Amino acid sequence: MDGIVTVDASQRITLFNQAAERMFRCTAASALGQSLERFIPARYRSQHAAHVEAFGATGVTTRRMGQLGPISGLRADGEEFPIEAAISQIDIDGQKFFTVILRDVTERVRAEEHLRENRETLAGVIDAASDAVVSADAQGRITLFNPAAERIFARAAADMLGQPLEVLIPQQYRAGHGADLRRFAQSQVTRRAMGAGRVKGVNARGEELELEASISHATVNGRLTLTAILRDVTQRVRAETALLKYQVELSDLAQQLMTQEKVMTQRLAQTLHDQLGQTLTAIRLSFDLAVAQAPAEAPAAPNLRRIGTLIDQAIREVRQALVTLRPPLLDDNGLAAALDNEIRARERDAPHLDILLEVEADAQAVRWPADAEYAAFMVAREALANAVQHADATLIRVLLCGNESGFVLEVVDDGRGLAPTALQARPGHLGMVGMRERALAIGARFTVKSGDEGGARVRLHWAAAPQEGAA
Amino acid sequence: MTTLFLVDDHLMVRDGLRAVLQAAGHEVVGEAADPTQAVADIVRSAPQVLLLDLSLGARSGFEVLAELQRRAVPVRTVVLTMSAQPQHVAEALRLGAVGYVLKGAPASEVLRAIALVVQGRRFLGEDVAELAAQALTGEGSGDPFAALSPRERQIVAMVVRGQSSAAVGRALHLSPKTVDTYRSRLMAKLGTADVTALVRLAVRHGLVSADGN
Repeated sequence: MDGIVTVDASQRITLFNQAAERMFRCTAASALGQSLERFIPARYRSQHAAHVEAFGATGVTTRRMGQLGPISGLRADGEEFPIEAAISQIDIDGQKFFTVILRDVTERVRAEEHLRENRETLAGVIDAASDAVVSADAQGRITLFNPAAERIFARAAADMLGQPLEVLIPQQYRAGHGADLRRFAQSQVTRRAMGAGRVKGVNARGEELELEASISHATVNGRLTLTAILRDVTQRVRAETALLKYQVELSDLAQQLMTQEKVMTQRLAQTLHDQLGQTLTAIRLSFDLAVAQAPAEAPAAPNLRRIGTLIDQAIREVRQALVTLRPPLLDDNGLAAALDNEIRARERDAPHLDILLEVEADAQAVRWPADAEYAAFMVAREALANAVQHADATLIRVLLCGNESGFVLEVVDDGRGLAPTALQARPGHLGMVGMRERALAIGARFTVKSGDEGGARVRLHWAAAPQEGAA
Repeated sequence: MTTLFLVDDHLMVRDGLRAVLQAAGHEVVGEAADPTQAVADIVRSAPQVLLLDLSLGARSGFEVLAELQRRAVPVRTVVLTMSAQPQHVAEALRLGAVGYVLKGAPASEVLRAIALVVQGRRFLGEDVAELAAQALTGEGSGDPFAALSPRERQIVAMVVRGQSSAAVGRALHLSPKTVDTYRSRLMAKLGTADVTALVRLAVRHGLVSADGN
């Protein structure tokens, strides 16, 4: 209910209703006959009197609520409060009376202030944000462009307001972006979080930007507003891309080195087998023949015997080098057979050690790509050598399982387990690193850990690349 | 005097062999470097003994052995090759070879091999014999259990007493699967087909007494 106060020409109060009593915290009895000034803050009093006089002189009978602008009242207890007032004047028997209808707008003003503060805080946050904040209306015209957006896109907000959003998007992505935005605006989803999507942007210099975006849409007073918060991750993406490229290059290099090693090894083995080995065989035969034909008591006999021993040694060395260089049976008979052969040879040299080969039935006859088989064999050989020479194992199990699509090779021993530094390369001990590199070169996963009951467990997991068109 | 045929893709080696063989009074009736040519010539020249290299460039001496076996050609074959892998030795013997000598062995060993196979006996070169013993299960004399490792002997003893893989595993801290691997390997090493045969062998060699204790 509005307060109603009537004053005469000399501004003495002649009417003071109940609402006015509550508003000014003053009873009608003590208000009546008093000057209206009592209810006006001191600083407005002179101004007020002039206003009322001027109004009286206009002959206008009424001024509506709000037409007077913000004015303040003064309660009996000295508290000032905002009011809205309408004023009217009448003449009764030649005497002027002014009636004021008053409304206490303390609450409304407070709410408005609160809203304004909120707005200012929000604007402050948006201005200070390190992420770009860009809003657009339903037509895609920019309505907000914060300082971070100015920095990221190298464009001034003043130039951007009212511009279509598309200017922030590289030419080749614009068509798609428009459709995306329309779909999003029409969707029930009101928010898409940062990181869920990367988008491309372009700055004033035409440089393409990698942006992480979160986008939201809200309808305020029936008007759709789309707001995007954009983070410039161009540098990060560039660094990630560079790292990835470096990793791929490194992996390619490792693969190349492994391939080269294999080719070199094969060539060397072939040379040893087909040339040096055969030459030594021929020397051996010719030498034996020469010795047989020489007189037994010839003075050269001790020298000949020594030469014979040296020829033997050379042949043994070639044969051993061949076994080391060219995994026997691997090419012809496959991984399981080659492992079996290798294990038999190892066991022969270490009679107190049991080496078991456990090959799953499915993996028995499978042939994998030659590179993968070779790498797996070399890893197994290295792991076996480690277990035999450094781990004091009494039982080593070599496990092979898998099928056409891949295999898992494990070498498990019951020895001393891993030294804390086992995974680091030490000069002259490239074992672990070598195994890891071999795994890397064929795209296999390689792990070494302590076994369940001590010892070490070396594991190589190779999977064939998915077939083209496969799910 | 023995008639011989040489199959080796290295002329130098054939020359050396021929010289040694001729000096020892043998006659080389033919030579070849290629498996296909070799088989035809061997059938035609009918030598008593064939000296055969397993590695013939891109091809293999196993092809010659298989073809000779298929045609039942009555030639005594001595493999003379660079490498001796257990599986190679086993495969060569399975395909009818009766001798296996490593290249680089003394000429006397080659001559001894020829002399023995002509008499219908087998000959394995010094380094080969041991491998063959591994590859050829159940052959060889003496105590077959001597070749086993201590843990293998333990497992035999427990298996012949009727203990399950699980029980053996518990006693030796091994998984049942590992015990199974041990068992099948043992059977292969000892040339026994089943547990009954294993028990008989163990009793015969005094590993366990006949009443099972």
